Amino acid sequence: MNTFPGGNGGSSLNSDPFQYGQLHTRADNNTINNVHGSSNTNFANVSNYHNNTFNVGTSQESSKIQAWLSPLEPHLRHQDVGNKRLDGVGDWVLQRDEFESWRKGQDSSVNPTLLCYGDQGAGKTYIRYGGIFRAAIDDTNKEINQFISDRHPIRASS
Amino acid sequence: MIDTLSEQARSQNIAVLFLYCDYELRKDQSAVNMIGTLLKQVVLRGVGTVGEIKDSFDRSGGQPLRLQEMLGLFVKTINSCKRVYICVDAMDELLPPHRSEFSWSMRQIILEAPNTRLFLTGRPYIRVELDKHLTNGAYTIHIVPDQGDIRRYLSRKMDEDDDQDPDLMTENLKDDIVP
Repeated sequence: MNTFPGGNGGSSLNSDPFQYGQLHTRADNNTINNVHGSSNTNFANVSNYHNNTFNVGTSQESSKIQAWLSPLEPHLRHQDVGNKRLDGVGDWVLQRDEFESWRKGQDSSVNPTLLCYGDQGAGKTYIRYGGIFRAAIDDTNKEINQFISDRHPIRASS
Repeated sequence: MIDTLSEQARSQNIAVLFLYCDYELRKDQSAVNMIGTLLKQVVLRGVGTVGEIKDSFDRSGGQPLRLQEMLGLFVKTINSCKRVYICVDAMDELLPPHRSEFSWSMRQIILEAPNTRLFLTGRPYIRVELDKHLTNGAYTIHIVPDQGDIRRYLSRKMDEDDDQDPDLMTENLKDDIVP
């Protein structure tokens, strides 16, 4: 098991070898409002099932919890990348043996990580959009596989 | 696409989570904030045991969690998922101290939560560092520009090229540029 250099050797999640200061909280409420207030279909869906499944009381409370978890907003750039991506770009990665092995790996002793490395502009970000997760989920979920077949090509933009 | 997929995946208790490392956000992209962002997606997508998050919030009195606490909460929350895919893009854009903390954190997660699969991208120069903390024994793919990808990109750019005279970009000229 790896230990973090500079820590005091604690590797269990129960120990607390690091001291952390206050979070750098940016204008998080604005960001959350943007997400929930967006007219974009995908974001609207997110808001809907957020309300249906996260029963923690008021939406104000869940906004507070989200701000407490992190000041970072994960959705903005991925929407941007999704809009720019071309269908088929990066799909060759899906044919590679390494990808297949990672996707199918059942052996818990193997590192369950796939690292794609390359120089700037090689297309790493778009390759990730090239169906990595589409294929990975296909492997464990026939319904999604069918959903993708019915809807292909699926785009983030409307 | 991913949001739509995630909606489908939710019913199967499969979580698909994303992190985009961005040099412009480097000061805020600490390990604890990054794991917090993963949890935020768990909340928004309604997968995992989100009640754990609410309980932890109530106990915290609103004080930010430390990294170890955040990691513990993340593992507890995703424990009930059938599988969790975590995708981290452009790890080279993290500040080096944040990156090694984050790599260490991801290592803890894959050790504590065997239902996790990690997908990482980054530039070659961080490989040695990543191997040290996280990717030793991992699957690796070297990404190089693909001819088919370049062809698709050029074709679209030509189709969109209406700035001058649209008639100038004839099919013959397109064929000359991309045979």
